[in-house]
Amino acid sequence: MKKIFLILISSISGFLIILGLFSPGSILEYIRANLLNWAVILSGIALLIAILNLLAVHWNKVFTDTNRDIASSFFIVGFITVLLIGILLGPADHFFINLNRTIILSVEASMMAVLALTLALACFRFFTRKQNLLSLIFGISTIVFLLLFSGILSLGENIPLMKPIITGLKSLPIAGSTGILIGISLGATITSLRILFGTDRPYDR
Amino acid sequence: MTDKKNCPQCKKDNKPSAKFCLNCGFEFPMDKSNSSSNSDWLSFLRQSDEESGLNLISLEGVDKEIIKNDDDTKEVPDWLNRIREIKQNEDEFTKIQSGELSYTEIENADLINTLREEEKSTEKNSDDWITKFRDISPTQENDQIDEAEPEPNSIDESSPISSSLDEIKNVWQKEFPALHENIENSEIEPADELPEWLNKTIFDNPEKSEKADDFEMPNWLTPDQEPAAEEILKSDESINIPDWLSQSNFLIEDASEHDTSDELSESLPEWIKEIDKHKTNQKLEGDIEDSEISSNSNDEFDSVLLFNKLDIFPEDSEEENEKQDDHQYLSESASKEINIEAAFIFDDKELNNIPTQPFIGFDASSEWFDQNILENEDDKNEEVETEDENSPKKSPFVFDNIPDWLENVDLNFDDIEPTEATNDEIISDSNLSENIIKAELPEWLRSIRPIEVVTPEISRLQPQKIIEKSGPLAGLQGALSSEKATKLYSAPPAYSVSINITDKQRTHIKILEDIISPSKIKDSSGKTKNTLIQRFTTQLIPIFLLIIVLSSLFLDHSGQKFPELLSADTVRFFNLSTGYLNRNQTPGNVLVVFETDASTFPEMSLISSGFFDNLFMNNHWITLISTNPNGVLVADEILNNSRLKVPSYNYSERIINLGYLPGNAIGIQSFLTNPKATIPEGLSNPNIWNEPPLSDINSMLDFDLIVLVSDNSDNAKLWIEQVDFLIPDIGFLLISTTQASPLLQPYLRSNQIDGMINGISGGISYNLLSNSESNVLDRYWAIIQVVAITFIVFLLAGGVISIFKNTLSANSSGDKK
Amino acid sequence: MDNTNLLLFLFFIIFILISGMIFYFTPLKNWLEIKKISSIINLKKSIGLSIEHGKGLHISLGKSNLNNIHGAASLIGINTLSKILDQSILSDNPPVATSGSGDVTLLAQTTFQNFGKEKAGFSSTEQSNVFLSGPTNMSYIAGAIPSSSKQDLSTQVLVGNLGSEIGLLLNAGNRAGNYSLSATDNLEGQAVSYVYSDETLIGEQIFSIPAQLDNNKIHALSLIVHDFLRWVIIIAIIFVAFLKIIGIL
Repeated sequence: MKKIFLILISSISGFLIILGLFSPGSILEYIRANLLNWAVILSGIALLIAILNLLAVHWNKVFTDTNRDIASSFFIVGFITVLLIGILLGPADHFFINLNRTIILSVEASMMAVLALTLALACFRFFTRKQNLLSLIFGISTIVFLLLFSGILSLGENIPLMKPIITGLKSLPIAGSTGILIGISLGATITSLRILFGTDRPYDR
Repeated sequence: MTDKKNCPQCKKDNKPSAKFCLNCGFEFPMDKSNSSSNSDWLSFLRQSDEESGLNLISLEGVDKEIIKNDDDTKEVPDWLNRIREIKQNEDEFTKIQSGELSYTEIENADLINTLREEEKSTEKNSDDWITKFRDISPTQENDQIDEAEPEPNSIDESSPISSSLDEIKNVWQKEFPALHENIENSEIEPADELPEWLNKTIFDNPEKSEKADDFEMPNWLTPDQEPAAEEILKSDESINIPDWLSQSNFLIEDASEHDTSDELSESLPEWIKEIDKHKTNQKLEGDIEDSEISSNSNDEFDSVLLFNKLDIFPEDSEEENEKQDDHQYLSESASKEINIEAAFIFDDKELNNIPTQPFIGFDASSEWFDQNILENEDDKNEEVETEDENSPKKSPFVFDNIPDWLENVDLNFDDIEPTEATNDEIISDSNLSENIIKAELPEWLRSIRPIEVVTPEISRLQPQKIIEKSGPLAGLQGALSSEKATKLYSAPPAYSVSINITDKQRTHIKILEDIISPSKIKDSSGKTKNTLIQRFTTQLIPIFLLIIVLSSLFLDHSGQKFPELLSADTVRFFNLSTGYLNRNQTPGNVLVVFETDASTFPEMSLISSGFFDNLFMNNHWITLISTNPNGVLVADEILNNSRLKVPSYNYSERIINLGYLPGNAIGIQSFLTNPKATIPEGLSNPNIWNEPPLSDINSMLDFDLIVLVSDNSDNAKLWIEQVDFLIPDIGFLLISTTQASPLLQPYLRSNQIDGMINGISGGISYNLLSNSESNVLDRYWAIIQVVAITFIVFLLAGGVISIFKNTLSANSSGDKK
Repeated sequence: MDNTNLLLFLFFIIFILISGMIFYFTPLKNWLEIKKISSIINLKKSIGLSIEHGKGLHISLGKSNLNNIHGAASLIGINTLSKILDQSILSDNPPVATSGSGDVTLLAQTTFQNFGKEKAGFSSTEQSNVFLSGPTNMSYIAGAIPSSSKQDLSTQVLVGNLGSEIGLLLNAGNRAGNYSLSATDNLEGQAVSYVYSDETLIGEQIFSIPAQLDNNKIHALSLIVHDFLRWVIIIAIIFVAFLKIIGIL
């Protein structure tokens, strides 16, 4: 009984939203707008709950867990500090914004730099880890497009045949990505239909 | 009316099929046709009422027997009849002792003859002496029983004893008719030679001698056991066997001595005494020595299985007195020449051929007591007398022609599997009789149950019991018998098991192991141990890359060449961002959407700085929004950098930050549909929609341009699709990183995007078009090219090294093969 | 409703009807055999070996919410999590799941709770195995790296919407010697994961994971429908391209 009730709610709400999309100006659109607003609100609340859960997890790691993690203490201190400052000064306060901007931008940018370095190491070990046709094609394409998008090949556009080759090469990732994206879109559609029809129930395991 | 069984005891009616009386529990005797247990050779002691006419009243606590010759009391249990008989015989014996009765006519051939076998008996009879016990013809039994029917309460001199003897004889004849086939004369001829244990007379008038039958007579029935009797009599220890059995010959009369010997009379029951009286005076030859009844009565009593099992203990004082009389009798008779009429007279040959091992564990030789009892010489007790070498000993049980099943029994303890044996049962026979062949377990039994291999070694338990000297168990014999066993147990032997396998089997094992072993998967359960080269490369590669980047920063790139042909995308972007916005003299209202993560801020800052500098220089209104929480921060940082370049721009008034737009695609759609409703307030100003520049904005079409700054193609696609669907007429520009630009090219091709700055090259192109300063951008342009070449070198170097590794490993494996 | 919307609606209805017919009315016995992907087979083996060795698993569900197209990949991640929990919830080291989205985190916690109650008797307060590691992309990766680089971990499964930052997570797992399988619908993430990961599912192979992990006929049928529709689009593209070449369009 509970399962049927849940399936009915999910299916009906999904169909209402679809119908509202195709009937602008009607009451269905109004229902759709409201349903979507509620979904956005629930998503925000879920994010807030998840953040509190994250705090609890790190709290347990510091105070109760057998395998204590010192890094969790840094998280707790930073979280509480920024939270208190934001509450006290307000989110529009310059100090608060500067504080956040300084930390977040610095840390995330450095993480991206670390990613670049690890990618360099991964490139060196690439053919050691994978030795098949696909990896060979991947390596060759990596080399070509590194040359292409770094602008090295663009220097030779004056050469008669280089420009069409360069233009053709630049269109290759478009073709590949389009095919992949079409497949991903179809898969997402099928997955959504499975949930609409009630065959797949992520809310009830 | 159905036939009902009337209980003779309580006179209650029971069902015809009932075996016990429901009222009193009296056991109804079974019919002859149904009973199958009459084959027991002792069943003659359990006569039914029909045969004997005896009846005993009450089952428990019967002090006196009531002998009734009543037809109504035919149904009497056997055990009750037995008790009655014994009682009766005891009475008769006392009477005989007192001289009231004579023992002349008591025929004891029925008992003795059944136990005795002649030398000249047939093989059949010699082989199966038990069957002889049982094989008594009913006619003969009946005749014997009829003859042996004693009259109740008869006090005649001859009638009670003779009647009891007749009874016994009849019963024996009944049970063992085969024994009497050869007996022509019911009278027992006196035996010429009897074993010592039969020589001793127990009865007062051993005048009559009974003829020895063809049956082997046990030694305990031998009358002549005079020398050992004294030793028996001397013993005052607790006796497990009755005294009447300890005497050598209770059948031989010795009235005078018997009267005076208190010791003898103590141990003997009355019925045996009566039998002794009627025995003829016969002398047994001295071959059968009194050693069979050794001086050590304890040894005898302990070693005799049969007597211990009978559990006959001297309980009453009267019995003790009787035993004392018997002992005295025996001692006196031993010292004197007793004119005893031996009941069993054996020839020399007969005596010599009498087997001395009637039962298991007994040795007919003179040392059988020593061997059986005194096994462990270490444990000696003062009170326990060892074998008396002086006194000749003989086995009380002597049988000629032992049956096969007795002969094949292994009396040697080494071969017998150790069991939970009591001291009474475990008798080690080191010196067995010659006739008894050592029993051996069959091979198949040993193979399946090699218990002696596994179990710890158990020493031979001494048949000789230790008498405790102190403590609560003082005086008891063999009370703590398990002490010895616990000290002598040893650990079981350890055996090694080795399997011999051939090389072929080894290869098969290896093949099987390879087959069934799980296939190796790339995952590893533990941390992989990096080699030195791996660690070197792990640190070297990033260091090398950093060196290249840092060095490039300090190098002079003024001579660097830029692409001559600028991309159309960038040209379009420039045209729209400057020409379209600047067509009007009034500043335009630009919506800038920052779909940028903080991680790509450096690149995005480089790429978009020229555009924002241009916007600031043209004093356009800028509205910021982001669906990424960090996008707001990135936007604020980028615009601050541009503000530093253009200080005349009124940043605080011209820049409106709408903040974070939640809901992702839903939020985008909602905002594009109705921006005021979606974001009613700003971060710091609640009335943003009432103040310029948003005071003139009622819908998205009121914006002059929408610029999307994105490093993520997916989020950029969301904006592109929604903008194109909802507000297709608005100018839409895109600033993207090198990472996202390839995937957004289709939107550019389809004119869903009006212009795009893609990566650093696009930024350089825009700077060139706008004639703005691009030194910094030029430097990073060179660094990007160098780094790209470095990555290509790393990739190729790794490929070459892997090829060499594979080649070398293939060669080495080929060499190994 | 204007003509365009009406046409779109009709197309959608037809699409649904065709899909429904394929779901319910076609004979399923001979159609539902799908090609096994070696990566998923190796994943199953790895999960089994991890359970046997008493090692843990780390499942990362991506950063996307459910209110966009990338939410489908997150749903696939939740489905994968449930399949893995079905096998490994009773192991000595229960799996750990991380996510970059709040709603996906709550769904994953619900899944963990249900399996825990049903099979292992967990109490509802034990939620340390499933948590939001960070609200943004990089913070989510930064929070998931410690879970991925534990010594008592042997397998990490990354299923969802993950960008190029997936490389940091995979690199941490590789340094710890873990077996990794990555399946993301993000193109940059696919490229980076192909370099780092032991097994990579490219493109729409991510949507075949539920059908590969269990024998549910519905999942297999959905894969068949997916394949059918892809062929339809391929044919349509080729047909339109042909028409353009010949000059009709």
